[in-house]
Amino acid sequence: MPKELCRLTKPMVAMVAACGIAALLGLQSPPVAAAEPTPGITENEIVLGTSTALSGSNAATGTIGKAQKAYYDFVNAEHGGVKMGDGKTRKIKFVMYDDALEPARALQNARRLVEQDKVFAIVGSTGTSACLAARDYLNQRKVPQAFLSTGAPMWGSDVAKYPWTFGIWPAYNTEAAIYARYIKEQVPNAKIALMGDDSGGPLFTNAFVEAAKKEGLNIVIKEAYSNSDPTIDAKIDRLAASGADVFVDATTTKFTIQGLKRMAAIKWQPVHIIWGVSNSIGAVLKVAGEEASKGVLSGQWYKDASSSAYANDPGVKQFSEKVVQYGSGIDPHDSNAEMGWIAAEAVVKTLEQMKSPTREAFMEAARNMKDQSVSLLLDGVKMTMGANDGYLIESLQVARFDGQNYVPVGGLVSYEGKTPVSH
Amino acid sequence: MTKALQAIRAGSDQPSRSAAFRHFGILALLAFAIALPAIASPYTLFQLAGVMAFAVAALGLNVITGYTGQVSLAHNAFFAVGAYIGAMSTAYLGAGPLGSVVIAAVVSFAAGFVAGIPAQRLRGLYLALVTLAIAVSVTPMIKQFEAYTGGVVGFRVDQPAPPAWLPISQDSWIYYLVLLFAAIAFFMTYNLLSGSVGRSFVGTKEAELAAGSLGIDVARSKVMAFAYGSMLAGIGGALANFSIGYIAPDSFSLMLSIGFLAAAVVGGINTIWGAIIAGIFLQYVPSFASDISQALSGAIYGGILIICVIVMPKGILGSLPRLIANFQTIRRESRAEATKALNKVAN
Repeated sequence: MPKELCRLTKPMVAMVAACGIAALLGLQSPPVAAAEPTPGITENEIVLGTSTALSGSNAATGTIGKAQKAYYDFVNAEHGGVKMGDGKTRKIKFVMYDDALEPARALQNARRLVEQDKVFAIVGSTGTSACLAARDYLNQRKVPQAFLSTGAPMWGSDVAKYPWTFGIWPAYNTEAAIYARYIKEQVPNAKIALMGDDSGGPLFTNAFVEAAKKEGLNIVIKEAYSNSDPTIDAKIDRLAASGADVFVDATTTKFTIQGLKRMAAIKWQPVHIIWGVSNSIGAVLKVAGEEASKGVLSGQWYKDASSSAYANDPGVKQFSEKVVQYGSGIDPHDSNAEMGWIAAEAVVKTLEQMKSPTREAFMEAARNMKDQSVSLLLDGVKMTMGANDGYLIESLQVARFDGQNYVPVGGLVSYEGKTPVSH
Repeated sequence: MTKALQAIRAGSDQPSRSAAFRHFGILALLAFAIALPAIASPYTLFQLAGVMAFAVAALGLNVITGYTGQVSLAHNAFFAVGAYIGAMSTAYLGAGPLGSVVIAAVVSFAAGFVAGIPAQRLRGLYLALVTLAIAVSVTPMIKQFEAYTGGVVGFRVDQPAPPAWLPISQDSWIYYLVLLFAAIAFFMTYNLLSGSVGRSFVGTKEAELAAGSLGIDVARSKVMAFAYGSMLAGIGGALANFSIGYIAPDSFSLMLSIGFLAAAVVGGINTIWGAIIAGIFLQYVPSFASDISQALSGAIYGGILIICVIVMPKGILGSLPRLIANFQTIRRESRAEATKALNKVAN
């Protein structure tokens, strides 16, 4: 090493070492849990946070977050806030960050919400792997990760390990079991074709394969596609060629539309069951065309605002009016807007039942929900959890699309407290 | 041609004042980084651990693209290889933080070596296309081997915990571990690139024929640069596990590769230390853009990128010498003018 550099370097190395020692001496010791008041809640305000996709290819999901914000703004403006179980009325401050559904950013957002914004709870976040990335951290910190807008089975099955986490959507394993039961009862000797995408799909298709085995059903063909595929026409052709007479369809919206059109073109007319992710009248069935989508079956748990059957329903009317008023640019026919509204209303319902202003009380109120409802849920669909039941909504109404609306087929099917654990 | 010769001839490094300043700067930065946990919040430390993991991976891209002139879109794939191999070696083999990073480095080096073989013959667009194929195949591959990778649901990685005798928080511990590995990676790369290997890389980029005629094994340089750069990506991926503690295929989309490329260009793709700026860019700019406007975050991200490229075409660090030189020229000129004016007054 040249002399000049040596002269400069030696004091510098000493400086680095000194800094290291100083850092070690001055380091903060691990945080000590003191009896501090719960963060994010004061006499007149409660701070909630969410992480969702506002950019990237999944940005449409972000409407779930925006609709939640619209609901809290509506409650703050028209009811002066939420009257909580301790008798105090608090305004809701809602902080929303973009994670583009990337797990690493979702964890970063969770930490930012908890450590910097000091939120009381994280609610209504989207994306299964994004929520999974934040789950350990939030449970370690004992921060509620509540009313997650995803249907992943583990929210309800891992309660012992992750008591601070739960979802709101009917889980894919509940839905799969209900369809398997329906097929068993309605289509004797069914030959089933099953298709799902390779991201959220396997959670559903795996659960369906298990449920089908339990019911003794015969799956003759199973296909998967990737979201980057340009078309699934060839796969639909293969399903049709298999001679299947029931098609359980766990494709995502764009591909569901493609599939419906292809099925009409090749005149394949099985009993067609579409999972809840892609059963929107406005975003899927009407786009594919009335002729192509007539007769489609799907499980319903909320009132589709696109359906004329609910044109006079007070809950749907209020939603359609207020979500536009308080949420700029939200389309009330977008089912994601309804998902957000439902989650936010469920959050408010929980806050109303909280006995004290603590995170523990929030979780207690949520975990002890019995037969609760919010305005957009179908009549008879209730929110219930319990000591051994980590799933909030476990009933579906199987319905057939008649070209305009969903018409119920049979009664509401409830798996309350009986959702099969999916592996 | 002349540039290549210059690069090759530059072997007789003169110890200059600027080199001394650079060493001073680097050591000062290191000293600051070591002292930081005493004052920074846990959240900041978590973010900085992310910055360093990204910086190590971006450094790999600087080696492949900046130094050797090969366009790689497959950086997400090698980042993913490192992350998954690191995580799996912890989960299945019980490897500690050091072990997981070493195993990840070896495997991603091997993967980069294999992927680098076509790079010997392919140039420009064709090479970009081959690496694009690797980039888009990584997510389906992860999903395919569900039994080991956890498929779409991903899997949880145990985060390194500080030893019991050390009274520091887990965030500080992770920060120090990542800092240690990042410092080693940068030191290694600095040494590698300032020697004959680095000159052969640059020679290969600037003029393949000339470099070849001077006895440089061009094909070997390309493959080694690819393998070494991929190894750094893999180390970055394994380091990212420390602070995130969870991996899923959604983390490694093609967008990550594009992000790496953009950030590396902004930092200064022909430099070593520009990778640190790339890491800062990757960690902070997406959320910064989203904080300005949630609806327009993509456009703002793109806007920042365009401004950086127009104002500083060689990247922030690459343009720094010119900016300083310009500033010095202006100062010198104004001083000369002032002297002239004074002389005039005196006369």
